[in-house]
Amino acid sequence: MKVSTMTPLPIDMGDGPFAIEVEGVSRRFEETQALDDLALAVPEGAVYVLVGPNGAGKTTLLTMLMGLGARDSGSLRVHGMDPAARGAEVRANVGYVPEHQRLGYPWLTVGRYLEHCARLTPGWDREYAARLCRDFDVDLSKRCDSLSKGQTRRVQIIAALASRPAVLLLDEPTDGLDHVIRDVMLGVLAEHFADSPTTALISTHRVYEIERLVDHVGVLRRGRLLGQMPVDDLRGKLRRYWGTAPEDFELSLGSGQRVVRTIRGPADAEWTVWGEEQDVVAGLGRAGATVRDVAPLSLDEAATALLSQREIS
Amino acid sequence: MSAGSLRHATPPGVAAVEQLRVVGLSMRREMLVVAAALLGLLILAPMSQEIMLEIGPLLLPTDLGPLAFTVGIVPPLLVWRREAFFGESTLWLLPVEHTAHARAKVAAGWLWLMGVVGMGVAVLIGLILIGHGTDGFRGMVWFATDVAAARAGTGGLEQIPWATPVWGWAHPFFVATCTYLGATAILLGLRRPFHWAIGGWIVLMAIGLSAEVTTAAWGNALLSGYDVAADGLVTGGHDTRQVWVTLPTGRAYWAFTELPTFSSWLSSIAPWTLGTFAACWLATRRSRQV
Repeated sequence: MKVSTMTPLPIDMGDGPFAIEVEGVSRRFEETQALDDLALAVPEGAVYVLVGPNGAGKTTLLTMLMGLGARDSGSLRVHGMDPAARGAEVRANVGYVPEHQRLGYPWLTVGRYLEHCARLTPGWDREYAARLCRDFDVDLSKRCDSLSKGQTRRVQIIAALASRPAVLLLDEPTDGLDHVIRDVMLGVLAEHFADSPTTALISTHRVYEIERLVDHVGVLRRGRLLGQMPVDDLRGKLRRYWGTAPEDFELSLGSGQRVVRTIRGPADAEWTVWGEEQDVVAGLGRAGATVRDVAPLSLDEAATALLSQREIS
Repeated sequence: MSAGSLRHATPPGVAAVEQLRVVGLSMRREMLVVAAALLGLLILAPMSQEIMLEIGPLLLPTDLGPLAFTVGIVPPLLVWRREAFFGESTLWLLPVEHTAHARAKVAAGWLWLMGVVGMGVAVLIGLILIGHGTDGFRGMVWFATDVAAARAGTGGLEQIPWATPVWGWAHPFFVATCTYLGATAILLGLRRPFHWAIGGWIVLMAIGLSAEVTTAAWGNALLSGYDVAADGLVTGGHDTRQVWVTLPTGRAYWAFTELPTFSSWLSSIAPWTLGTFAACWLATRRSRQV
């Protein structure tokens, strides 16, 4: 079976306005190319999930957006500000949950730690912070160094949300949370996005956990963006097709279509294809395949399919 | 979102006040131990005449230099405890300009250090006053008008009256400041501060040892040959102005060849203070990006 035609996934996000713009950013760590000419744009008000395997460059990008990561080339802007030049102003408008689960000052109580953040973060909403502490069941009298990973993560999330920042950068936000608190967190985030004008860039391996929150997706692999698009476009255009195909089946799709993955069984075949459904069905039919069923993919399945795609010819 | 609706960074002044609080909390345990020890000394020492005789008189507060030198090294380790010097740490993630935030933290640690040194000096003065009264700050010092003659036992050595100079009390504060700023500069300015500190210490020890063994002029010059040599930092240069005189009778004294003055002390300590301040200033300017 031969499959051809590689239409790149969409990357162009239109004219904006964008809360986060990344253009041609590269960063190399000794032997590893962490980011490679990366271009990415997060529209204002979007909840954008960035998916990618370990080492794809997600954390490197988020660190750069906070003004803490150096870049070799390219430009980065958060609400028009370059984090390398105006880091403090960027951080005044960004709530950040880092990948690591450490609070800075182990000798402080959680209450004092949050007070420290409150005094140094413009726009800190004390009432909201107190409510988040209640929602997350955070014990303010505990010392920071006595917290579990999950408890630390809750405090980091509170610190990120309490100032109702214009931008949220969340690096694996559900990491370390048990399923009850994860559910609380997703509820809190949903409410936060509804109540506060926020743009969020979320990096995660576990897309299924935040699927209902996000409206844009970007797929990152080996420091390059494979594609970015509204989730509705992804759900509408990336579909799974089941059917049968003859031995000498040769699939040649038209423009705007891309075979993401093919699984061939003894009797049946499964194609995951990017494109308008009727065009793909027609293309498969022309090639001699009989399509029996078509189904959309969940965001998690779509991300997995896009990340596992290979150059097929 | 319009530029006007975006928030501004937190002013450095706000960060400085907050750092004073947080750094105080980070040093709280150690400062309580020091305070308890000093208080205990103040209460218990007067009960023993032997201890009180040991504590005074004190004619040269610059003798407190070695102790202040050691005390000044500790706070940077407490101020920056568990803080990553580069990359993601709470300090660098907050919306305060990095250089200003680092300086606010350094200044906070320095203020607490000055408090501790001040407490120590106050307790010492109190103990001297309890044990010796104002006589604890007056006495006689040996002065060599002719070192060769003094060593030959043919004169040239005399005792002259001496009162503890007021400027001398500033010395422990300045020495502690220099070591604090120097150690902070190493911590903040270098990627591998502990490697550099240990390496630097080994080099200094090697210089000192070779100077001791070979009596090499260059070694002695580096350690105590000039006002700004290592001795200038530790004793304010008064060791440089003293010689060891052994009389034919076998008795030996440290004798001044030139009496320390405010101006000689200042010329010793000022370059160190300015140098370590400049090093720290530059170190705090270093990018915190990884």
